[in-house]
Amino acid sequence: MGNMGEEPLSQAEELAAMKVMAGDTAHELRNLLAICSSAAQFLMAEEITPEFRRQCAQKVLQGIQRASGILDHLAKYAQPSGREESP
Amino acid sequence: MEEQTKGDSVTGLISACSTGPALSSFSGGAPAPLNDGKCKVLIVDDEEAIRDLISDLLKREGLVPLVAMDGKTALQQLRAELPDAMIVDLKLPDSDGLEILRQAKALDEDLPVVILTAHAKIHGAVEAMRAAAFDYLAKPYDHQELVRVVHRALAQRRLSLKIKQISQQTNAGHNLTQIMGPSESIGRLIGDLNRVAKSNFNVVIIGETGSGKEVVAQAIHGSSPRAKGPFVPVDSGAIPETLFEAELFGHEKGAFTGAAGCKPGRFEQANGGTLFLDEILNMPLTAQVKVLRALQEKSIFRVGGTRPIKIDVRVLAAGNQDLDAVVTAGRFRADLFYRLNEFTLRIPPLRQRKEDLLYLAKRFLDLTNQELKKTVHGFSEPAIQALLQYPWPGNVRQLRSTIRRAVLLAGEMVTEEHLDILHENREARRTASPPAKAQTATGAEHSLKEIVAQSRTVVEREVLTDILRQTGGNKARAARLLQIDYKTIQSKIKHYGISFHEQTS
Repeated sequence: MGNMGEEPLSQAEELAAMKVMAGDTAHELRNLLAICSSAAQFLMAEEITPEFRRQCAQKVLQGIQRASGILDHLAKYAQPSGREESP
Repeated sequence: MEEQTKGDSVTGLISACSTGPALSSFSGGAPAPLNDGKCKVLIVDDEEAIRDLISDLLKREGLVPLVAMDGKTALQQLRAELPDAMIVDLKLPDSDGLEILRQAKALDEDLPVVILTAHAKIHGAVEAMRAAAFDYLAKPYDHQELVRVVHRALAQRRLSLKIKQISQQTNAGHNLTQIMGPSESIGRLIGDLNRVAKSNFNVVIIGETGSGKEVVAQAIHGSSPRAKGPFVPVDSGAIPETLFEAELFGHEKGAFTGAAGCKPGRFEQANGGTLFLDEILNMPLTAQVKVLRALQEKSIFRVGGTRPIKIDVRVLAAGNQDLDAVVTAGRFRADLFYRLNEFTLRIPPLRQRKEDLLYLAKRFLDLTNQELKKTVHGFSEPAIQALLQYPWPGNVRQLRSTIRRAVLLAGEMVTEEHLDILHENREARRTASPPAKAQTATGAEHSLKEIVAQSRTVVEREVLTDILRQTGGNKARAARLLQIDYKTIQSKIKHYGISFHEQTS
């Protein structure tokens, strides 16, 4: 508690870093959602070739996988241990 | 919550997408698309999957998608492909979307740009950018909405191009009035010209020498859909008969003596644009056959060439007398004439347009004043009468040179004394040599150098005589007016044998 100079500053820094990360993450997730959403809209159309249907499904899956990756990373960051690891 | 509304529109989209043409049809009624009937839309996004998906979506709408993954490629595509609209992500690896928007507008101010953003909220920056961007969409985007925005963007593109085209035509009409005159007959000519310019008709322009046939031809080209293509004038009278075909159609290497390399002809140079054949009555009969074939087949053979070369050329032809008579007399092939004469524009001679005559005389006076930094402020009444009575066989071109010379000689006002056309009539010319124009007409017998030298003699003598008459024989004043020194004027007067008794004025 005597360490008045560093503690509040690092908290402010952490807050700033979190804001940036939250913004970046939201941006990336929206991009991936856009891929999934667009591919899904195609899948709901009736007149598409089987090949195109496969490609769209693949895009949805890949989008979900990439989004999961991002969320895993977030979860790790949110863990108490992970939080201590990061400087 | 947002997803739910999306869900609804997705349902709406199913029917729209499955009946692709029906969706496209809401752009129906719009004028024909640009670029060979297909609109190009550039998609700029660093995410490959997004580029693919939007490409597929646009293809279903009958559009041609182009893609770029970063700002640099986007600008290359903009320059090379001239797309009709652009969809751009706000965040790119090498620059941001706003920067590309700015650069794209610098290249093509009418390009509609749709911003596609994955930013959570529409910030103030986005609001500001809306001014320059056509519209913006948030990711994830709805297909139907995206398609609707793109079609609206393309409709606006067509509209702004149309407006530009119309204002260009109005300008062209305005300029033409300035150049040719405000008379009713010229007004009618300009009206016909604007109507025929938009078509792809071949046009025959008939007018006397100096009446402005090339001006009319250029105006047709300038307000035609080919305006961006080349305008290639060919003076059929200036090309020796033996070289005529090589000039028009080009030649392959070694096609004839002196044909060192291969060379494209005028037809090829004019591809995508307009070929202007002036003085077509001078076209050799052998060439006439080939021109006819070129127009019929829309392809040509170079001299010595065996491969046909496709050409897309609009031909404007001009002649200085009533071509019908010449065709009837068999001096010009009737079949070629009819092929060329899908429309006729006749430029009335200047002597029939007194209103234009005075307007143009004043215009040339103003222009020459500017050029010579003089302040001649008009014409005396007798000078105006003289201008009106003269038949002007050389039309506007002759009027221009007459006025230029008069302004050079005149002080405050152009009087009869300054009009050489009168001296001609009065036989006051007193020059042993015939006028310069006659020299050029019989030019074939003389070298260019001789003709120029003789013409200079004629002009110098004339100018000196006139100016001495004006100064009452005062050589010093004449020298000052002509900006030459006293010694020079003295020797010239002696050389030309001009006799002028000094008068006390």
